[in-house]
Amino acid sequence: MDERHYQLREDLAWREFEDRLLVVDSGNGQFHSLTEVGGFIWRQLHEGNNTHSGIVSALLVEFEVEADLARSDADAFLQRLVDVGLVRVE
Amino acid sequence: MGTSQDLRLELGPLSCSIRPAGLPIPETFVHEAQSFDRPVDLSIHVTHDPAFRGAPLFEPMRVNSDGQSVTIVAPAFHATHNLANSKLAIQISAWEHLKLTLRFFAALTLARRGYLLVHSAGLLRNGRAYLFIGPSGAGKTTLSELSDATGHEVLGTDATIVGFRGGHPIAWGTFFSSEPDRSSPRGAELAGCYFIKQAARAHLVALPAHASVSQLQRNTLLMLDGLGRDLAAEIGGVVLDTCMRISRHVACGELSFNRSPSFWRLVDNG
Repeated sequence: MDERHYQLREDLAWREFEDRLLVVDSGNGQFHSLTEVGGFIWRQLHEGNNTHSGIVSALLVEFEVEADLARSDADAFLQRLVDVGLVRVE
Repeated sequence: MGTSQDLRLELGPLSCSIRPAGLPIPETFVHEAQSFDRPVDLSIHVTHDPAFRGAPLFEPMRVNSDGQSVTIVAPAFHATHNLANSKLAIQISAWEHLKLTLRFFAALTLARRGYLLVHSAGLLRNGRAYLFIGPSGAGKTTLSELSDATGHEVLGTDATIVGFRGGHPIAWGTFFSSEPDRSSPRGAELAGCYFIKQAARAHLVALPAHASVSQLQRNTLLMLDGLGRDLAAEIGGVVLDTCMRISRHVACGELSFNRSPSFWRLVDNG
């Protein structure tokens, strides 16, 4: 079971805009546009719900989605955030 | 020939006072700068130092910040901007290097105040400004030439300042261009932002607001690298806010054009 903690970097500029969440990486100037589900996971991380299981539980409450799909969406999105350097894993 | 007098340079909402020391300002630069007569906050002290050599466009620039000042070190110049008092000290070997230095610090100073220096051609049509935005090679100069030939005034062929005055979006021309003689200091209400590419068939696609924000942010002439995380995050947030505000007030689209002034019809109907 993945119980790592995913921490948003504290030096990112981000705003909610219409149905998106927009992020500018202050380290390299790169821009990221997150969809509704991505923005939801981002806000969960920001509020301290930062484990994989916590994110999956929140997705199941917020969206009408099967557990397997919620897990795979959380897996893919968290890994993407790690890959582009927007979150640290602890 | 040149002048050793202080020179005042106005760039839309940004006004610069340039004090040369040991390096007279060339007449051509005075002519270009004084044609942009408009409020400052950037006090520039330029010192001639022949030790700085090299071609800044092709040599590495290193940007550093301790949160109080921003410094650029390049083979052709050395510049330090005090963020508290907006004083900028530049050491260069030749005036040809000043525009690049000035463009970097103008973009930084403007961004902190909610204005963007956008990589764009700024064109006037019926008294309103339209930005045609894209990286080098996208067609900004071509569109400027097509518009110039049909009697449209060119605000600038390569970089335009955008921001808000009295709640209205405004675009101002700059002389950050390879063809400063074809640029105008005027400011005009901003009516549209179009992200351009050349294609066999001209067409215009409206963009959702978040995509416009993304495109605007990507085409803002501002380097965040090296500024330090706190300063970069502060400026990144202000830039995002400005891009979002522009996308809410101004028509935005992706414009493919085919070297014909017919693109104006698409813009008018868009």
